[in-house]
Amino acid sequence: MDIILAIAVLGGLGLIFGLVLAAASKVFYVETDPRLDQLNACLPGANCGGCGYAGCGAYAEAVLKGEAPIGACASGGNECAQAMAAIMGVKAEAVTRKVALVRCSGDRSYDKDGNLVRGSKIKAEYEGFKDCMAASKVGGNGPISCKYGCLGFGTCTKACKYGAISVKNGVAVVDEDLCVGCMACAAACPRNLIVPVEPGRNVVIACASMAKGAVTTRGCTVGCIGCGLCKKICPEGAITVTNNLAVIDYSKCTNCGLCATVCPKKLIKDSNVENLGDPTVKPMNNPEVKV
Amino acid sequence: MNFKKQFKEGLLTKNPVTVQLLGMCSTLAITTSLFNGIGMGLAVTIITICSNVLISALRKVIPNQIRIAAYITIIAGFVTVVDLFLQAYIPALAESLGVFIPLIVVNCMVLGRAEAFASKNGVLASAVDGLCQGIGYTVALVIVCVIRELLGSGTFGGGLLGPGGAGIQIIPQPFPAMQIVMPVGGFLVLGFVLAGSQWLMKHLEMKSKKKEAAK
Repeated sequence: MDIILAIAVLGGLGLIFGLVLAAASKVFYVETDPRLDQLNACLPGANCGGCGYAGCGAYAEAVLKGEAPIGACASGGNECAQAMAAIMGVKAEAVTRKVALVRCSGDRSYDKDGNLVRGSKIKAEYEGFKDCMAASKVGGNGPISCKYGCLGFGTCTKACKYGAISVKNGVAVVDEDLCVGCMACAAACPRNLIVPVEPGRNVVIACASMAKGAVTTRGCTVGCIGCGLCKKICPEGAITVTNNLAVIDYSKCTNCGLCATVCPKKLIKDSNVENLGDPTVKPMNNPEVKV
Repeated sequence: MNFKKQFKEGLLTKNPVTVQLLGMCSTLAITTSLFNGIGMGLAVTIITICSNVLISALRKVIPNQIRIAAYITIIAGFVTVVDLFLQAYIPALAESLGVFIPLIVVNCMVLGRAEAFASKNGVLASAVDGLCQGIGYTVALVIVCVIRELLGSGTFGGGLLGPGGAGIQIIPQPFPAMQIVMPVGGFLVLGFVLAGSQWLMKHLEMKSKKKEAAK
């Protein structure tokens, strides 16, 4: 009996207040700009924050007020930008899709005896909190020899809402099919390794080391030493070497791939996800591996 | 029930803010201008009266085991109505108080009065109790608001008076201490207001004792 009474009372109260609230929402209805709902409908609703606003709703409001530019949503891409422009009655420039690129090729592979044959050297075994920011603060620029390289503790993986970035063999790798280009990972990376690039780019320089050539070579087998061979061979003059690091200007690059053929460190690659699936490759912090 | 006694309890001896220390969240968060204080106080007063009345009317029907769920349903209903009302007619206040309007649902003072008073007393007495407690809450809020606004922004009546509703500047600009408007100032000012109300109660008690002794 008590149970029935309890259900009746709570159910009754719920029903009464449901009716009251339905009436109140009609009586106190606030006219909102109908475009706001339409803008919200265009946006992906992932609230990734890549646009710089608190979420998709906040971005839509800012666009409506004219405070934010159309096309700031990397996740929605061109389709979203054009749809929003149509609602706002303006013309949007075509937004090219961008994906994240981790500028580090130092993923490690070991030979049968556990000796490092490729990748950035580990100078000390880090056993603290598994987070790049924490690791980068200890022992003089973190546990790996290269002070510019990927630490591989997956802080970017945690920041990614699309599951597009993962750590393989001690270095973060972006899955270009899943990446929407929101660059939340870039904001999370304590070494500023992650930059936006156009997907399907054949030629990328996946290194961020600005140390002198000798220092880079000591710390990593695949670090850019700033030798400038790529700069010399590039027919378009798209490559410059500043601070011992080669940088490609993609507005000039024609994807010819000549630079990749001359790079002595083989770090200019057709794709930054090369060398995966190699059975000799072992993950970082593997207790069986001696470095 | 004695209206005068209830009024005195609500305002001073059982003031929800300074004695029962209920609803501290909103007290600390929104007391930065007079407009906020009065708005929040009135909203909470209306909600307390309405929920007190309905809960005391239903007190014999609501089974004891599910009373909290029932109270929260009732309070949440009224809060939503007030929230919608403010958004429709006083959007400036709705924006200024923000999330703290919906948060009245979990304001301990409203549920506290439902549990401590409305569930045991008649409809009229509960309505009066809601009104008195609401006034006590509003007065305490306004006192904290006035002090924080004066020391923190140097103004009086922010949101209501002065040019563009910015308040009347009393302390000229470089002198007000921003920290008083920040959370730390909220705690400090609230502490002094609590101490002041304790002193006032002691003072009145001593006075009445002296009077009795003289008789």
